[in-house]
Amino acid sequence: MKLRTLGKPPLVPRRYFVALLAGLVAQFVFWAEARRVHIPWGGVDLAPSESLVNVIGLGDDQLFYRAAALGLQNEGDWAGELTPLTDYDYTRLAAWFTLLSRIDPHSQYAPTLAGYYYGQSRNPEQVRLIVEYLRRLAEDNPRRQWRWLAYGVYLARHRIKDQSLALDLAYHLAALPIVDMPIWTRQLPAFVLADTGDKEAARDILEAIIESTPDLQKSELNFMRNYIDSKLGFSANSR
Amino acid sequence: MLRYLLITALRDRLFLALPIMMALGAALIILLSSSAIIEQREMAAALFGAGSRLLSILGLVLFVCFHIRQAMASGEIALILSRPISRSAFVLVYSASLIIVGLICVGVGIMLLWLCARPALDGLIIWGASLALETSMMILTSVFFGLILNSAVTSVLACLGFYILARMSGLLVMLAGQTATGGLIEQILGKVFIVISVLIPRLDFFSRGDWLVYGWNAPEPGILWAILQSLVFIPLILIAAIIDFSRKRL
Repeated sequence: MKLRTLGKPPLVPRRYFVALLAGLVAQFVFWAEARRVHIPWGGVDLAPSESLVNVIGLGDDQLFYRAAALGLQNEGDWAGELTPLTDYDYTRLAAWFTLLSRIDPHSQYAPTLAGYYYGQSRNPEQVRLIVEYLRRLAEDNPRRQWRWLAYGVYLARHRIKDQSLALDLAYHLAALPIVDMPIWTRQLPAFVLADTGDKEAARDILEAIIESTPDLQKSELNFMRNYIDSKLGFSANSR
Repeated sequence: MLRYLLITALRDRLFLALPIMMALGAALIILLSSSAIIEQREMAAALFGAGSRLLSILGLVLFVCFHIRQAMASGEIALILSRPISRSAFVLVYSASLIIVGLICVGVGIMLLWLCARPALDGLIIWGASLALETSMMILTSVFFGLILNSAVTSVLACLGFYILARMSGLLVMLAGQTATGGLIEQILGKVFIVISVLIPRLDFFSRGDWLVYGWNAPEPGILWAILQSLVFIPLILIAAIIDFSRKRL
């Protein structure tokens, strides 16, 4: 404290302040020029190997998972730059999603991002890769991830417009040995078949569900009977 | 000793700079995680947990290494040792006091994490306990390198290199196992990895983001491994520091 009161601080030569001001002006000029310069997006990077994940996340896989998922969400759309989904390399994206789901099989972040965001591409071949990822995810852990098969059916029917793929996924979902799956998962193949015009097969599936499920709720029973009747065009005693 | 270290930490603005840095990190992470399409709380917990861990470890390693160098250069340590205290007792009391300083910093980090992400309480408790152990181990490692090496910068670099290797030691163990069937160079590298992984603690068992996201039920390995590693490594690094400091000319 005493030292501070001993005298005025030594004078700094004025030219130093002039140099500081010049430096500030130069920095401002640089900023004004540089803000128009954008580093172009180089496309989706290759997904790293699982050992590299450990290195990048410094042993904390959850850190890597969250940071990479957030990075994938903003991939290509950064600093005012927007990239159409058709410009993304979906093979690489699928590899990233597969890696992330292997790191954290419980989180829904990667499949949600894949299905609800990247699955909206207008290119059917790109969406097909997302559907394939969702199918593998559901196959690896059906009890937890079966819903992604249902979403895969939606993507196949309405985005890819591949009814045979949709039917394949729907049959796969309906055959899963999970007791607490809702009844609509078993009805799904019938809905896809009805879309493709195979109404008899659709009716057979719904009637098989009615016959093999004695504890069916009345509302469900009425819905299926009504569907067979009005949507498929079969009356109750037409068989 | 504790009072002396607390005063030094206050003087060096450790208790001011670290919380401010953590609060800035928390603000940034709240902003980032709010843009997540789902699981925003989990995103904030995992990112802030890792960020506050790195900030705590970095801040404390810097503080300890520079503090030891400064205390050595100014003769403060020689002055303390002129009292009736043995060198081993000095290392023990000094380390314990530094750990208390470290625990205060960890406490601030845990509090900010709770405010920022509200993770599951059981997960936060396990994560916080393991971060306290991890920080203590790194403080002791900093004491060890600070007493051995004659430059604060070298000590900091050695500690950070040690930390990175320790966080990756699980991978080193795995790589060492994979090189057994490779060529000569791979086999030599495998032996080197084995030696490194034997000497370096498994810090990848500590402060796992999975605990903050999934709580107590996170996938294995559990906190027991972190506790066992601490029980093994803390006496080891303390004894090494005591032996080295006992032979040191001040």
